[in-house]
Amino acid sequence: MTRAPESEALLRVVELTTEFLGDDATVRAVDHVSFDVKKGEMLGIVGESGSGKSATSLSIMRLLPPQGRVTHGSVELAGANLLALPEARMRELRGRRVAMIFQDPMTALNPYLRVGEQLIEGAVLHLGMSRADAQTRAAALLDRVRIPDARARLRSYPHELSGGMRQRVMIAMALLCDPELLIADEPTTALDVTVQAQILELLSELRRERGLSILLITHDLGVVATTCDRVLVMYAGRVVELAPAAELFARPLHPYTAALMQSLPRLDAKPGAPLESIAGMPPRLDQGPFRECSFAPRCRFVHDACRVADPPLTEAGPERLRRCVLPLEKLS
Amino acid sequence: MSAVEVGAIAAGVGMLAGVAWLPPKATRVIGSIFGGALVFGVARGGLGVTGGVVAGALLAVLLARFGPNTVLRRVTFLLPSLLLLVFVTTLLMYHAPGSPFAGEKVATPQVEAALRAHFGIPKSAVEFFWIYVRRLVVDGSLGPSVKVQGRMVETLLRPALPVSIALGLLSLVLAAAFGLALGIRAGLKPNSAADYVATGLSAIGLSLPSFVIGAILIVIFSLKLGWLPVAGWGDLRHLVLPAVTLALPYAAYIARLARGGTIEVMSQDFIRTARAKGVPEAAVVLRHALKGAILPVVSYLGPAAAGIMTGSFVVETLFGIPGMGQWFVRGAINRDYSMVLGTALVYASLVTAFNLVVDLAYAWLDPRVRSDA
Amino acid sequence: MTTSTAPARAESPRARAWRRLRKNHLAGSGLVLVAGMALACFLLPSLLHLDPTTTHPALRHQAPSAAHWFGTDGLGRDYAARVLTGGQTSLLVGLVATLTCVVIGVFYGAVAGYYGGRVDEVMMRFVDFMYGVPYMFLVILIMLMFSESARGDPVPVFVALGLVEWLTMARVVRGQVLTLREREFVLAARLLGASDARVIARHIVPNVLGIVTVYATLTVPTVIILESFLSFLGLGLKLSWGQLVSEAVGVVNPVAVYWWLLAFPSFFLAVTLLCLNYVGDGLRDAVDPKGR
Repeated sequence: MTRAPESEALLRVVELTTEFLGDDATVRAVDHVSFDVKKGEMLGIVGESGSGKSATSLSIMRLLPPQGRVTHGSVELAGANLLALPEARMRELRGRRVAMIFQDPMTALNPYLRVGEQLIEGAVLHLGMSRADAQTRAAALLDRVRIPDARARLRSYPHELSGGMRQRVMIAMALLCDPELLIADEPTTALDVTVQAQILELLSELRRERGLSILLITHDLGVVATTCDRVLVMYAGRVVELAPAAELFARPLHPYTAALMQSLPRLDAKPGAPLESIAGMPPRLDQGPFRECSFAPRCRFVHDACRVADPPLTEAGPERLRRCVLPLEKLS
Repeated sequence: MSAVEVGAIAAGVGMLAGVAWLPPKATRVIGSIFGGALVFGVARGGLGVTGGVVAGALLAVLLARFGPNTVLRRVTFLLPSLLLLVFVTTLLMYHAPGSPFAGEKVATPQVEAALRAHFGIPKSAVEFFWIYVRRLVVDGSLGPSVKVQGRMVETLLRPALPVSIALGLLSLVLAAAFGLALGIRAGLKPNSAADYVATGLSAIGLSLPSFVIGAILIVIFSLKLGWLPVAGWGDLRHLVLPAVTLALPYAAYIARLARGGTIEVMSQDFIRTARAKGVPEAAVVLRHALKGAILPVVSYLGPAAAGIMTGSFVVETLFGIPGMGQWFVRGAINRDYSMVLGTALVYASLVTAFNLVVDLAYAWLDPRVRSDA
Repeated sequence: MTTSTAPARAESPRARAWRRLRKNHLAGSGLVLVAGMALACFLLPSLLHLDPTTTHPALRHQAPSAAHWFGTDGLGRDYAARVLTGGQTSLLVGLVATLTCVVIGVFYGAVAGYYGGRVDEVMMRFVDFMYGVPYMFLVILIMLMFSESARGDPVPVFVALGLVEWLTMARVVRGQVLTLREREFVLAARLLGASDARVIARHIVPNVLGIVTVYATLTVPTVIILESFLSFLGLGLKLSWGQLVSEAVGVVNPVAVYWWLLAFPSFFLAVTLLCLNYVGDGLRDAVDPKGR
């Protein structure tokens, strides 16, 4: 396995496994997921809804809902295992060193509090700033994320802002304490396409400016294509492929990734050609370990070897991993 | 019911609806005028006509200048509502068998006619309504009581009003305090021991009539322990048991609402955002969740106030408290029309005044409502 | 974020509600208890030849014993007989008054919601107005409409309580109908030329039945409590739990405590109301897990 040297990895996730206790069964939402995020890197995690990407991010932040539990693995931030920290220490770290932004900026901002109140909370809490200083800092950041008339906006309530503005506020809020890592969980899904592009551009700029590491979680391959350095593809709670973004798009090595790409609308497609989609549904995750490849029921290339056992994650070139037993040359 | 009566009710409801369709500007103007008129009516009793005019004009100006739209809408709605209330109540009383003079030794029809003329209670409900409203508007009087002869209704109600208000307010405060404390605690940890205790207590509170709870409290605290007086009115100690009795069912319901509200808010995305910022759990609850959690409780406080008024009929009887409920029940049984109408008007005004406060509180708590209005 | 990736099984809303309800043991036991209570009240007095009216001056205020399970009252009447017979009226009041309020509320709410616009505005303004009036006030006034000789007759009580408790039902039904009216399947039915009556009967009514059942179940305990208030004020029925309880409260005194007079009817009343409330909550969770 090719791994970045220890010193470069800011976040290292090893064999992370997260389970949810349901009414009748336990759902393994994240299944032995390993990856790392280097300093200043933007890593994308792609997958359908239910593939475990959000559960992964919440596990890292230790913000799982009560029925969720990390049952195995470790999450290291600059060498320290976050899963072993006492809750009080973890709390000091949230928002200070690791910040997070969420999918729906409509519901992720508190409707009962002024934007300013919510923005400065972290700075007052983690940096010990006075409210006035924190407000100055917040206004400067709002300005930086290109919110016009930033000072006045501090007195607005979230419902008075547009969706794009709210997501900018979320970003400013996340960056207020200069975190090292930003986890962006579907940051553009709820936004219009033009606003999506602006937000992604903003994230890229901020990353360059501040040497920020970003873990970008999305279901949209198009989003990672333009912004990420490396991409992790998840299916059924597991990693199925990991590759540098350019290589992944040039040559996907897992049938699932290939299928995902074919389902993207393309500019060079023949007019009137139907949009391809992946047949079938993702498998259930509450039935214990897989006895065959988890993607086999939906795979175009499925053959006998896929049905024998669940394939392991194997190296497939420099910096590339995949979970598939199909010979490389057959994938095309 | 006669055609005139049906027509009058239809006109009354139509008036209410008409008020609802007024454009915002007209609502502002009419609401201010109505508000001023109402304040004039109330203030005239204490300050005289000149004082009343000054107070009414002052409030009208204040309302027009600063009143939020929700408040003005409610005030605009109030005057037609009160008229409709008086009319409907009059009809109900006139269609009930018996009359204010049935029990008296009315020797001849001539004597009865003289009495009816004296008290302003003609045989037709519509005529009575006009006499009553004219007296209310022109003299600012609730009319003479038939049963307590020689006294006006307002003179009789004046000492009872503060008693009822004190009892009602204290009960409401107790209900809100207990209910919120219990409900929020339960909602923060659903299915915990604290939750089961709270939901259990609230289920019991909702399943026993308040006078049973009151009787049990009397047996324990007055008869067995001798800590508090059994009944009567005088100092604060007389207020404790009735207020607790009256408050318990509402505390139980508020606890349920607060529990539900808390569970709902704590599952919202913005709570996760606050946690992701590293906000300590206590601040998550107090700063981020509390407002949203108590909103359903706040909107219930209006109906709760009306309910507590109702409960006070029973509790005042049980504890022998000289409040307005007693006057109403006695007035209804004796067919003392002016007394019934007087208490109805005062109750309805109290409930409305309270609803105004609730509206303001709601708007203050939820900025989205504020900008909608 | 969701972790269940199983293909959604097709299940009708009613089947789903029924499945949820069966999993709710509290509501289930509540239902069984209420049914048992009703059976006991309606069957036991005649089966055991209990007599709630004959007085025995020699047996006044007897504590519970083998002969008189619940003791006797101030006139020496068998208290078990009185509590069970009183239960008949209380349960009947709950049922009939609730039916009254269902009929009024559903009709009123459906009309307001289905026609919408100004009709709705006028009708709902009236409901708002009624909400502002303390309801006990109306109950007492309506009770006055019936002659003095009818006191203790259950019909006026049914009517009076039904007439004040329909407001919430009307509001709920109206809200439901208002959204249903805009739903695709209703629009589709109308576009296909179905008459108003057919749309209401085939598409609207079946869809509000669930929520109506829920609120009807929750109205029964409210009505029973209101009846007890009336009894306490001397305006209620001749023999009901509420009336027994208020009589017992009336004889609370520092010298002799006849605990059984208060305890038995209160217990029966409280258990019934408690169960009905749990059944109602269970139904609500089953029909509409997000609503409250």
